Amino acid sequence: MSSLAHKNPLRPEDYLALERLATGRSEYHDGRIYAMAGASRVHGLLAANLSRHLGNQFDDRGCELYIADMRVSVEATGLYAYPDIAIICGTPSFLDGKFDTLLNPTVIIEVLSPSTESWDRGGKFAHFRRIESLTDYVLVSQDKILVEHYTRQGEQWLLTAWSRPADSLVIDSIGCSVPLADIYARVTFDPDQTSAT
Amino acid sequence: MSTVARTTFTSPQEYLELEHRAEFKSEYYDGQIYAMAGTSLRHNSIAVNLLVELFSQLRGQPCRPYLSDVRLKTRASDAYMYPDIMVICGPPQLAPNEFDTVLNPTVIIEVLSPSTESWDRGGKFARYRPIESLTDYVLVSQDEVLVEHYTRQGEQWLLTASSRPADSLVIGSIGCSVPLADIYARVTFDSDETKPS
Repeated sequence: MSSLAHKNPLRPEDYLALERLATGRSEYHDGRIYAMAGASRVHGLLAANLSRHLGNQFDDRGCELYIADMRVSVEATGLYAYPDIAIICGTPSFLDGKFDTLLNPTVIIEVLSPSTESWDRGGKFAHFRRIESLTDYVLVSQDKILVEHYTRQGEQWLLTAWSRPADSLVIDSIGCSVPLADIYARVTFDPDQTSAT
Repeated sequence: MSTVARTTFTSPQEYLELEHRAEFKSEYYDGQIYAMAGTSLRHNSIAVNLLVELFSQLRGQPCRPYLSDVRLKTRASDAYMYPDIMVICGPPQLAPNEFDTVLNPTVIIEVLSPSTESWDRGGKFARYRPIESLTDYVLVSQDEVLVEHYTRQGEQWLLTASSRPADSLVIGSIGCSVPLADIYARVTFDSDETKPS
């Protein structure tokens, strides 16, 4: 995520108009547009593994899962972002009738990258916490086996950290459970990037 | 904290020998030494505000706060860190044969800096979590009024985020309560850096 130089803040409606014509995705907050970078092989594997195992458990319970391309709007703060995975169980509601900007995700999952880890853990999570429908926020490390799962408890969030392959990520709100061994299937760690937990 | 090139593995003993002779502080984990940078005036003001409040509320109590010159060892991961503020209850436990390295903080507080935010939120917190005595981990933003307080609940951690000056940071384990207005007393934000919470 790099910051484009904008002396004057951009209005959200202008961002949306630009974004709907753009060839690359950008996020938006505080009057600025942030272009999104591409992702690594491991990042892609983790998102795909999670999507497949979660999606297979939805059956006919009325859940939808979007990978990377669904824009989420946080109405309370004005953030527009593209989560790596957004899940909605129930009736999705969209910003302006164009069905491309989701307002009420149930679960958001981000695969951490070195360049965006600070934002995913800090500022972005602070924005997402303001989404009333959101019950779960999940951070997946790509340089080691580590899944950090925040579950809403009223105004607070309960953190559970998993780091053993035999552990399972259990998301009660959508009735899903995925062993870490499945999340990290075929994932190898570059020794240079691997750090101990 | 700046990163030193990863070339060779340094043992904990080598790190400690270097550290005892060094003119500046370095942290140590995963066999590498990381020199610590100085901090901003705002970082220091916030740390001093918190220290003064905690010191005054803990007067006559078995717990006392320590500033960032006290080295902490995490036994589970063999890491050495200098938290911005630690509160230790009862006699400090020292690492064997180390007169100046403590093992048993009850509370750790870190004031976030742009260069270390990702580490404070991620890898450092992951290394602090196994410390059995630790009940509270507090992250204090310096570019906005925001205090994120993690409280241990068995193997899980409950996050409470506060962002109104009238809110208080309440640390039940040591019986302290500090209004955010006092934590941020005389702290001003550069309007360019200020983000909505």
